[in-house]
Amino acid sequence: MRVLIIILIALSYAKSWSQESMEGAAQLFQQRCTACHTVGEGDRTGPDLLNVTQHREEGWLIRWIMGPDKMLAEKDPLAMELFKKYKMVPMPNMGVTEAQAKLLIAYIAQKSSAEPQVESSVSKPASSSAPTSEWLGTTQFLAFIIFLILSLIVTYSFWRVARSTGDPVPIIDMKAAYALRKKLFLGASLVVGGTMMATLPFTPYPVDLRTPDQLIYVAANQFSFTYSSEPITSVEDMGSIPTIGSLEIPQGALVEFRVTSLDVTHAFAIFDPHGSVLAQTQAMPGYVNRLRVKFTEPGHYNVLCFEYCGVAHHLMRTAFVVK
Amino acid sequence: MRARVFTLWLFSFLLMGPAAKAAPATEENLSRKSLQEMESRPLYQGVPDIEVTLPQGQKIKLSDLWGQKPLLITLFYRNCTGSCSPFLHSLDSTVTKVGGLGSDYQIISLSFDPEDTAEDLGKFAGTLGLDQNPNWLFGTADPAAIRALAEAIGFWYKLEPQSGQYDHPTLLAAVRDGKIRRVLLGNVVLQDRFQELVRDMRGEFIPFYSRPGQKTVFRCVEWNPSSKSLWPHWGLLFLVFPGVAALGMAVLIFQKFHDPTSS
Amino acid sequence: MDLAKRNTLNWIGLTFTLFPALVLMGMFMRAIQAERLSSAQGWFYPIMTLHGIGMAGLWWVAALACASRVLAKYTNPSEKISRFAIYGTVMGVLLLFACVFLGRFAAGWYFLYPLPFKGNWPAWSSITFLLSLTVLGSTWLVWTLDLLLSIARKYSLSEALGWHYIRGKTSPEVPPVVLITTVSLIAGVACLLSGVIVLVLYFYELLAHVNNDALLMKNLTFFFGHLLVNLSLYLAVGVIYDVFPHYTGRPWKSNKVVAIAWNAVLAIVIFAYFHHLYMDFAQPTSFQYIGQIASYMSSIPSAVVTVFGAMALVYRAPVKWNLGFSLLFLGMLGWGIGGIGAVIDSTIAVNSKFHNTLWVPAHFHTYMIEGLVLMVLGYFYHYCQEKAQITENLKLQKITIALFLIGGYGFLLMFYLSGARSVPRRFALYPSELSHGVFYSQISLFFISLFLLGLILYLVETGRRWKKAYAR
Repeated sequence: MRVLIIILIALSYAKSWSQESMEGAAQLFQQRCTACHTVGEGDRTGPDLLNVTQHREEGWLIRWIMGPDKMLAEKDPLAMELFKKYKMVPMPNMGVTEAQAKLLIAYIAQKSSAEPQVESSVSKPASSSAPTSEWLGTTQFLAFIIFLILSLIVTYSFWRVARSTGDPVPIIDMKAAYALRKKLFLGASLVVGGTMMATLPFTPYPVDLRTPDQLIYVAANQFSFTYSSEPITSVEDMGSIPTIGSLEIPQGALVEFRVTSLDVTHAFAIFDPHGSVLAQTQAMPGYVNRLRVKFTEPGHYNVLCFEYCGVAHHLMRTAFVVK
Repeated sequence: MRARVFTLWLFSFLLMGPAAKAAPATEENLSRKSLQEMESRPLYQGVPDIEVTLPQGQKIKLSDLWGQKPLLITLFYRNCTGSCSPFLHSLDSTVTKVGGLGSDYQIISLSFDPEDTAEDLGKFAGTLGLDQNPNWLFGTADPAAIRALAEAIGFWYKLEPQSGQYDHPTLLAAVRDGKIRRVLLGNVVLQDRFQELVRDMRGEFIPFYSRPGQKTVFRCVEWNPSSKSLWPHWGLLFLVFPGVAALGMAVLIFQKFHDPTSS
Repeated sequence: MDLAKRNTLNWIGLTFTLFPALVLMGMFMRAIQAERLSSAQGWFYPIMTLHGIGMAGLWWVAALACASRVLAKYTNPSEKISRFAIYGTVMGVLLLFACVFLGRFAAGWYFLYPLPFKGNWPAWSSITFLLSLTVLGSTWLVWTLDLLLSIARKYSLSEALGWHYIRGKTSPEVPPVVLITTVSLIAGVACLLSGVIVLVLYFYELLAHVNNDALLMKNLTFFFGHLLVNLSLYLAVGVIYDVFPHYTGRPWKSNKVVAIAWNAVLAIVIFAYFHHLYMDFAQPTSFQYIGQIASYMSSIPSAVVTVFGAMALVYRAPVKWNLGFSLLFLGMLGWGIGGIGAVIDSTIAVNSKFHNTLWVPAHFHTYMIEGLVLMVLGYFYHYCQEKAQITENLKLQKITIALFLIGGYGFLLMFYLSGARSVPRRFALYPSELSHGVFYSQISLFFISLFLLGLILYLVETGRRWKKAYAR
C-alpha cells in the first residue's frame, strides 16, 4: 500500500515535472529552431519537423541537432541530401547540448502528435502570390525616366564634342566657353538647389511620438522576422513575449513598425501588392528604427530582407495582409 | 486506522502539490496560440466608457480617468482564494520598482463579483495596503457594464457552483487615449514587460537598448535617464578623428618637409 | 630599367592579371542569379565578397599608381615605397584569396559589423580577412604619406591646394594633377585612418570580449568605403587633367575656378558618406540632411568644372582617337552618368525605394566599369604606347571601344531596370515574384560577355606594348 502511494506521488510529480520541462522545451524550440523550422506548418528555410521523430533515428537526430556542421563536413549521406534539397543552406550549429537536444526531440514528438494530421506537402514559405501587374512604382518610374533623360543629354553632349574633332580649329573662343560655363553653373545650381528643396521635406523619419493606429514590433534574426506587440530585444525574450503569427492590418491604418535585430544587421523592406518597394528600414542590433506607413491599399504585402545577413539572406521573408 | 487516515491525508496533500501547480496554470497550460490571442485580440480596440462606483460612494466614468492620464485596468473579486491577491501584490511591487504611478498612469482595480460592494472593496484594499495611494482606485460597476468591459479587454469569468469560486485569468489592460495599448497576461507582473508598458504610456521612445550583461563600448550617443535626453558619447570622437587627424597630418608634413627655397 | 618604369609596369601587370579574374567572378555571380549555375550557388556570397573587395581595392591602388606616375613629373616620390606597396598589395590579395577560397568567408566587401562574427564560416577566415585589410591598409597608408611628402618637398600646403589661385595670383604654377592629388591624398589619409579604427575595434572585440556599437561601426565603415571609391575616381581624374593636353594640343592649367572647385570637393566628400545610412533611422536626422545636401553639391564642381573643362579641351581639337585617348574621354562620360544615378539615389525620398535594390550596384558599376576602369586602362595604354611606340591599328581599337561601350552599358542598363523594378541587391537567387530579376540577369550575361571580349582585345593590344616596354 505504502509503495503504491509513493509510486503514485512520484508519478504525479513526474507528470508535473514533464509539463514544466515541456514549457522549457517550447521556449528552447522557439528561441533556437523557429527561425527556420515549423512543426506542421510547412517548410521554411529548413524542413517541416512534423513527425520527424518517427522517420529519423533518434541517435542521428541528436548528433544532427548538436553538430550539423560537423556532420556535413563528414559528408554524412543524409546530411548531404538535406543540404542539397534545402537549397544548399547548411543548418548552423546552434550550440545545443545533448540534454537540450533530447528535450527538443521530445517536444517535437509531443507537438507532432498534438497537431491535426494534415497531409501538407512541402509548401513554399509565406508565399509570394502578388502578381507583378504594375511595371514600376511611381517614384521608381519617375526616377528612372529622369535618369534616362539626363544620361541621354550628357551622352549627346559628349558625342557632339567628339564629332566636333573632325573639324578642328587651332584655338577655340575661350570667352564664349567661360560664358557657357557660367550659364551651366547657374543652371546646375538652380536645378540642384531646387530639387533639394523640393525633395528634402519628404523623408521617412517620424518626427513625433503621435499615437499610430497600430504599433508593431519587428525582431529580425538570421533568418526570419518576428512580429510582436511588445519589444523583443534578445533571443531569450522570444520565449516569453507573445508573438503575432499572422499580421493583419486594417485598411487606412497608420502603422508604426519598430524594427530591430537580434544578431546582425538586416533590413525590413515592404513591397506593395503590385510588387514594388513601398518603404523600408534597417534592422540593427541594439537599435530600434521606427517606420511609419499609412496603408491605403488593401492586399498582400511581402517583406524581404534587404541587408545582406548571411547564407540564407535571399530566403528571409515575411508578409502581412491589409484588409 | 489513524495511520491510514493520516497516510491518505498526506497522500492527497502531496498530490495537491503537482495539482496545485496545474490549477492556476490553467492559463499557463493554454497553448501558445491562445495566449497570443488573448493578449493581441483586444489591442487597439476601444474600451466601453462605463460608470464606476468608488469606495466613498462617488460615481465616475472611466473616461474621466483615461482623459487625464493613461489608465491600467485590472479585474478581480474580493473572495478570491486563487490568483487575485498574489497578482495585486505582484503589481504593487512592480509598480514600486518601476515607478510612474500618478505621474504617468493611474490604476483602477474593479470587481466583477456582483456581491462585492464598493465599500467592501475599499476595506479590502486596506488589507492589501493599497488604499493609501489616490492614484490606485478600487471600485465596482453594474454587472452588465462589467461584462462589456471584460469582453473588450479579453477577460472572462465563470462561477464554479460547487466551490463558489470564480474561474478566471489574471490580466492587466493598459488604456491610452481610449484605446487598449497593451494587455499583460499572467499572475506575475514581469518587470521588463511592465517597464516597456510604462514607456508606452509615457509616449517615450529610446531608439536603442542595451542588453543586460553585454557591455557596448563606444556608442555614438547615450541616453541620460535623468535629463531624458541623448548625450554624445566617445564614439562620436572616432567619427571626427579621421578628418581632423588627416588635416593635422597634412599640415605637419607640409611644415616639416617643405623647403621654402625649393620651387 | 629604372625602378620607376619597372614599378609602373608591374602595377599594370598586376591589374591585367587581377581584373579579368575579378570580372569572371562578377559573371559567375550574374550567372547564378540568371539560374544558369544553380549547382554553385553556395559560392555566391564568398565570391561576392572577393569580387567586391578585390575590385574596390584594385582600382584604388591602380589609380594611385597612375597618379604617382604622373606626379613624378613634378615631384619626386619614392620608387622604393611604390615597390613596397606592390609587395604589400600582393600579400594582402593572397590573404584575401585564402580566406575566401579556403575559408569561404562571405561577409560582403564592406564586412558590416557584426556579420563577420556571425556567419557560417570559421573564425580563422574572419581573422584572416581582418589581417589582410590591415596589411593592405597600412601598405597604402605608407604609400599615401610618401606621395604627400613628395608634394610637400616641392610645394607648401597652401600652394599645393591652390589657395594662391583663389586669391587671384597665378604663380607659382601648380599643375592640376598636383592640386587634385593633394586633395585626394589628404582625404585618403582620413579614409585609411577610419579603416584603421574599424579594424582596431574589431580586434579589440576579439581580444577583450567587448561589444561594439553597430551604428558607430557602420558609420566608420562607410566613411572608409565611400571615400576609398570616390578618391580613386578623383585620382584618375587628376591624371586626365595632365594627359588630355597631350592629345588635344591645348593646355589644361590650374586657375581660380579649378582651385575653388577642388577645395570644395575636399570639404564636401567627407560629409557625403551619410547617404549610405539614410535607412538607419536611428542615425541623427541632421546627419541625413547633411548627407543629401553634400551629395547633391558634390555634383557641381565635378560636372561644371572638370567635365566642362575636359569638353572645352576636346571641342574641335585635332585629336587622334586612339585606344588611350578614347578610353580616357569615355571614362569621363561614365563618371558623369554614374553621377546622375548616384545623385538620384542620394535623394532621401528616392532612397527609401531604391536602397539596397540593384540600383545601387547599377550606379557604382557605372562609375567603375565605364568610369574609373576606362580612365585607368586608358592611361595604362597611353603609358605603354609611349614606351613601346608600336603602330596603332585604329580600326581594331575602335572595335575594342565599341565592345566596351555596348557591352558595358547594356550590362548596366539591366542593373538600372532591375533596381527600378525593386529587385534587391546581394540576392543569390530571386523569389518567384521577382522573376524579372532572373530575366534581366540572363540578358546582362550576354552584354558582359561583349564587354569581356572588348577587355580581351584591349589586353592583347596593350599587352603587346607592355611586353615591349618591359623588354627594353
